[in-house]
Amino acid sequence: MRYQEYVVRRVLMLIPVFFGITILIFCISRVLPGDPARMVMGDLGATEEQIQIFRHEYGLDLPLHVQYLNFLIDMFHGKLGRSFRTYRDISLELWEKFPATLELVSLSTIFAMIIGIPLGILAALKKDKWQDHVSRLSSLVLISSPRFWVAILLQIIFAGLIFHILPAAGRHTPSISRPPSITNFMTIDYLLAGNFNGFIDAVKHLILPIICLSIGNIAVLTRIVRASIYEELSKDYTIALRARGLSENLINYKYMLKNALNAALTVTGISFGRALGGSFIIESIFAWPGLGSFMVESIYMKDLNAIVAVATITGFLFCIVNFIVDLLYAYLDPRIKFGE
Amino acid sequence: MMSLLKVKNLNISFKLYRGISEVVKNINMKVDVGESVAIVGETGCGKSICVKAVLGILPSPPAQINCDMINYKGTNIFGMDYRDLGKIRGSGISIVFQNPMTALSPVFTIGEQMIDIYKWHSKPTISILDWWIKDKIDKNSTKEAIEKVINTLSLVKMPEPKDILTKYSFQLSGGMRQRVQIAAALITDPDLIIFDEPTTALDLSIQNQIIDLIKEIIKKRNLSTLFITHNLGVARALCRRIYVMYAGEIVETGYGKDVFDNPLHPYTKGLLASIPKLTGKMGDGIEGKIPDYINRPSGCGFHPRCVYAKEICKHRPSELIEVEPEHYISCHMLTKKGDQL
Amino acid sequence: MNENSITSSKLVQNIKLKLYLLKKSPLSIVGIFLILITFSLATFAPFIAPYPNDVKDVHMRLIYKPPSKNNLMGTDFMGRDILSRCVFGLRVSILLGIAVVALSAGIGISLGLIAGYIGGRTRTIIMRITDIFFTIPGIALALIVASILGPSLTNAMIALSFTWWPSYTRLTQGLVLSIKQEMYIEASKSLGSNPLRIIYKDILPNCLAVLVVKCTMDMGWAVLSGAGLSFLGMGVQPPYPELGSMISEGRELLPTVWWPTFFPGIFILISVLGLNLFGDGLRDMLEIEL
Repeated sequence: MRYQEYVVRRVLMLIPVFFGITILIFCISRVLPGDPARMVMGDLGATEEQIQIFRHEYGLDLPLHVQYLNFLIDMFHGKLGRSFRTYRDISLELWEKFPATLELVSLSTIFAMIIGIPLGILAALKKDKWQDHVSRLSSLVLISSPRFWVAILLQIIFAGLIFHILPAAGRHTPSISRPPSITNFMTIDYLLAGNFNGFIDAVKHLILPIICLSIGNIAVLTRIVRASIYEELSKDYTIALRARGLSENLINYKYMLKNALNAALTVTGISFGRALGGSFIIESIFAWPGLGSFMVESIYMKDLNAIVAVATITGFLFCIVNFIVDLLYAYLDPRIKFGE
Repeated sequence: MMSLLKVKNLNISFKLYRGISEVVKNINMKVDVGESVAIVGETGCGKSICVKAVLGILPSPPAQINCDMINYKGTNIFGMDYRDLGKIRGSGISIVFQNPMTALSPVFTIGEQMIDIYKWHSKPTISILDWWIKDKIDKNSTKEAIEKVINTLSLVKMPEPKDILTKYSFQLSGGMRQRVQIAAALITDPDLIIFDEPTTALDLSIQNQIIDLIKEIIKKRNLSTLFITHNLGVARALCRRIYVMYAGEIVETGYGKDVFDNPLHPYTKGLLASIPKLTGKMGDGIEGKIPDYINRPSGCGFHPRCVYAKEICKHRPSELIEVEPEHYISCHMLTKKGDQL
Repeated sequence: MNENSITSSKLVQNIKLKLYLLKKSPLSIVGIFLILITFSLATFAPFIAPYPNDVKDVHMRLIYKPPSKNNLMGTDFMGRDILSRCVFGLRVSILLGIAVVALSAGIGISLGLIAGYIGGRTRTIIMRITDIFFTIPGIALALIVASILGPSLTNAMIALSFTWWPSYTRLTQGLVLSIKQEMYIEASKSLGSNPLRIIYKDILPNCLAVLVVKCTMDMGWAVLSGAGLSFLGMGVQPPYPELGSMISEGRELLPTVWWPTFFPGIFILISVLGLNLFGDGLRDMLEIEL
């Protein structure tokens, strides 16, 4: 009973947050200094009159709250405004590009967990020995490097100068035909279609971007898991189990792992957010056809509506992922589930 | 009678920023087969650390443990590798902890933990393959384990043992949790059970129930036990022999009735006098406080608080002397024959 | 013994303890070392750089020269010495880091103090606003703001501060709330002290440790994000060197001409690493969980 209550409460809380996101983004886009119409048209050497027409076309001369209402109404109809550049409805383009980003970011978050959690356990068990120090130092070095720089270096090393085993950019090799889009995740679609070559190809394209995106997350996860396991190690129940002669690996990989997974779960939402944020730059470097590179293009082209649309979708996505993680966490915690 | 457990010259210290803290000094103790022994002393005197060191569960880099010998059933287990020591833990020596809430994992059910303890106790070297995969295949062992767990839970007088299996520790009351812990210690079929302040964390009304339960179980199973407590009443009720510890050293030891009826060491006298009596006033207490373990007082460790302290007490450390048959104290006031100075 | 000598001897004890802890953490010492190096390089850039004029000058005959005796880190696509430009670029990055942290901490901490101390409705409003800011991942938000404001160093600073102040507010108000419950604040209040004085003298000093650690770690983040923004063209405009935009400019002839991209990254890495190592060690030293 309590869990259902919790779910309902969280769903209701989402609504004002969604509104908040739209208000924030809208305010940023309209209230900040800088005339969007001039920025776009001015570049093309337009006259004052042409700029006025442009402004009118896109409703930029209407009062703020009217613009906002129009924005909301459009959103309910599934439209996210018209691109300044192409005059197409942005939702169409977002619809195409969304799965690419989702695939990249979610796989990257999962990858970070697969690598980070075991590393954290290892570091905790060997605390203050050389493995611990090495792992701490390497994670610090990795977090301190600019992601885009590491991305370029990896491109050079693995796709250019030294080895040629990985593709430098893109999502798939044109010579391999695209699978029928069921989930729009290339990896899953290839598998479902039984096209093993295609699957390998998609994975190859994913490797470098995923590594770049997960760097920071792996470091954070390792630290959090290490702290959690280290805390558990000195807790009474671990000592009690050991005092009854249970083997170390049983204690570590069953009892303490559960706590480590709990700890990791709490940062899953943030990990996803960090990967999502990083996707903007990483996608442009690897020419990954997703929301991120679209956003960067729009920034270059000063396409305000596109910027607003992508920002809104990004915010919504982050919210929803956090929501799911919260629900999952509450479900797995017996104290909430059984009501204490 | 052969000793089940014999500890010879145990010393434990910790290296702190300010210096070396000598927490336990020169401890010698033994438990005979079928005997109940108590270690009494105030909080902080090092009782728990001693027994944890015996079982090898005191984390050893912060702690420096030095000992001549810890003899269990004829073998020296001090310094043993955890692989060998692990076999003794559980099936040889078992322990019941002070705080039953934290002694059980809060995210696994009682049943699961008990089953794991029953199946895998004293097997420190099994691989992940064994307990994870092979276990899933072997259904019979789980059924057998569940039966054993239910039986043991009934032994400790848990109501509705079957229901308890699916509950979590936070859903049980304090008394019930302690019973579960006792069951966990019993299910491994040990020869010796160490009880570390088993009633301290419980309500007064529950304490007596638990004590009675423990008494019954000891009798039924003919167990040897080692009790750690600062409650003299519990010690008296349950144990045959007593060690009185002060600031990490044993100051008096002997049969329970000898020590309680005729306390000889000034500290023991002070302890017994501190108990409020039904007929009279509140207890007196002992002046002063426990010493700084980094800068221990010279000579006898108790001299700063001792009402009988003389010059010699400040300079010469005292040693355990047998003053009566099987009654030892560590004090300069008494000679071998029990004469008082 | 008068009051002053008691407090000063306690202070000395405290410092001794902190130094002991510092000794136990060699990584933080490395961090401090790295910070000193980068700060000195940045401050004394005009004197250290072998070709200080390459900030603006162009030498078309020297383009794309690999690292050599004359140009330790090679030259870029306009023949400018990369080492000199990096050292000057370091100035911008560090300045950006300091400015962003100062600005976001200033706004964030003040709002946090207000929210925590006054509580009630004010607090709810402030916290709801920070919650909304948290819904968009940091770098993304900074990008969006910077792109709307237009590319310049000041705008990059504003954009990053805009993104980062909520985390200070959230942290500070949490700290204030827990400190508020301490007895001595109650006592102070009942003596009729001015609230500003209470905040300044009683509450703020207790938050300092945590906030200082956060500021240190955030400087590293600010430098990284600043580089990221200029990589995308949002920061300092050419020709003035900035480490991020240098990396971007250097991409033209990869992978054969690797040095214009490689070395600026190393500079970023070292400065951020120093800050992170130090912050990490500081955090361990003060035993804080952030």
